[in-house]
Amino acid sequence: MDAPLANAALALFSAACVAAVLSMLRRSDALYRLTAALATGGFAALSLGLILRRMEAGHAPLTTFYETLVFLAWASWLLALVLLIPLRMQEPAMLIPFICAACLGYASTLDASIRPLVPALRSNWLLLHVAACFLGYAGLAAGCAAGLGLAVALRRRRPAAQWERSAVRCIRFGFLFLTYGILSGSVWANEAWTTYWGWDPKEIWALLTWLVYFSFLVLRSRRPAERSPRMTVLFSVGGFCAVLFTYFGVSFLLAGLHSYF
Amino acid sequence: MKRLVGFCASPRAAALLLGCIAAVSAYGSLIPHRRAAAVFGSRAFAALCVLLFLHILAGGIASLRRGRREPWFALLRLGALLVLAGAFLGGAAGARGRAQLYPGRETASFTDARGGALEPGFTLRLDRFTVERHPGGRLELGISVPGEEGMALHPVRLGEWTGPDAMRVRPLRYLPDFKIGDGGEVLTKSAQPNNPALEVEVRAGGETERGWLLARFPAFPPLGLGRTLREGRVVFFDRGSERVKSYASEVTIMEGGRPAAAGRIEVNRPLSFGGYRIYQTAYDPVGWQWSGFTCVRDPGLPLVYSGFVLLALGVTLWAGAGEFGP
Repeated sequence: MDAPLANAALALFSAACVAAVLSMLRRSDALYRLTAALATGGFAALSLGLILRRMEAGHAPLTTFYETLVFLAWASWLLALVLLIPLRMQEPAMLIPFICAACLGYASTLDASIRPLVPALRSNWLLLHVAACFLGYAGLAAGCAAGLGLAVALRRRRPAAQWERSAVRCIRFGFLFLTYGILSGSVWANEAWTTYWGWDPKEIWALLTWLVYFSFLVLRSRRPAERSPRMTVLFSVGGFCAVLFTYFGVSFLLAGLHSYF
Repeated sequence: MKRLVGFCASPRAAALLLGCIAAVSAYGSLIPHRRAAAVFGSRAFAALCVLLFLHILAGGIASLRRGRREPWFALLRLGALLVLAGAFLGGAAGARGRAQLYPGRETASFTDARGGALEPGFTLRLDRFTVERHPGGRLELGISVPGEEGMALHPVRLGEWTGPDAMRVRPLRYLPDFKIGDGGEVLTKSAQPNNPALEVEVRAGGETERGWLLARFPAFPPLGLGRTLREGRVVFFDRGSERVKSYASEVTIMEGGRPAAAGRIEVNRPLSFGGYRIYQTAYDPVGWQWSGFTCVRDPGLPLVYSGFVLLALGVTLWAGAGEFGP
């Protein structure tokens, strides 16, 4: 990604974080709108950067750690624009710039060069599989942020309904795309690696993550009596720990077929 | 008996089974791949999966009896059943084996994981094998001189002197596929970086020489630099050219000694024939001479893919439509 655009996006999301904190402290609509405007500016810079990188690399910019972090930041604000802001879920939406800034801040420490593709990645499944997985991660990250907001609201005995609704909504979105990501990855693996399931550590941890959120959603939908905000906090944060391990832990600690980054 | 069946179909049984499978899977992800393969291929793990299959089946039947109408959950159950059934069928009736072939050679047998022979009933002949590499990305010179530890890296800039005072090096010419012709002349066989070489001028110990450095053969004595490199060392690195962009095999499948099919196999594009799929899975990393294939028969694959479709539909109905509607 073009360094000036990435830096501009990081600066805009960081400014959005400051505005978000002020907005939450002062409960100001104007500051909320400023947060959304700054983050949308960062989103626009990222969009342009991703398009330019796609043109320069000749393939979807989703093949290195740097590229996936940038895409995760982009997908996170896209999710806020699509899922949270239209429904006036203001407070949860204001946490998203923190996710974006964290992703871009970490990405700024990594090698941003475009690397040549290995043969297994030269496939149309690349865009479908990786984009689906990271849209899923974005949803689950937003679900975790809303879950933390819910925990704070519960502790302070403040209205928590909006936080819980946001958390569940984001988790459902994330779960849906994680499912698409795992299934498309299986089909792709069958074309490239001779089998749709090879018990690769990334596959295993993606499945375990999926099972955590599946359990949560099944419990919510089939056992309404057991629904509780505390359960939402537990699963949104615990599930996201599984996401983090699948994304970072497996890549850094375990050897496997997904060691492209 | 009724109580046992009732427990098998209960959410508790689901939690127990999924918990066991998750724990074994997590353990399998943390141990070396060969040992993990033994865990996932064990009878105990297969038994857990069979129990999960039976639980899903029993739960589905119980739901039907109770008249619960949740199409998304029925799709999820059916999808999971098909995936598991396909996996069992693939495990029981499937086969896979590997073979390496040089161009012009053929094989009717592939070696399976236990060293046995998989004979698919046809012969695979490799007509042509091509490896395309990424063009050389970064050219560097590693220079080490006596009295200094390690090797300092310098970017290659044609025509410019580089390196410490004790050993100055000037790159003159780059050839991607170095060869000495019949008349002793230096030439490049192709534009592919098969044998990258750099012509350099070296100035050391009051002497100046011209010669060639070969990236693929760093231990090989540099050509024509015997006097100036008596004590120091210069190594040429062609970073990136060793990275394979794609590799492909043009093959003919023979049945009864006659060609039955022909095609090109590359990564992400296997060739299907007679219930088998032949994948391009390996290559000779040194001389790019042989091509490696994996031949797979998986009769459970249609069931697995049908299951995937149902799972995707079920999750879409459940997590998607219900939540993201107006």
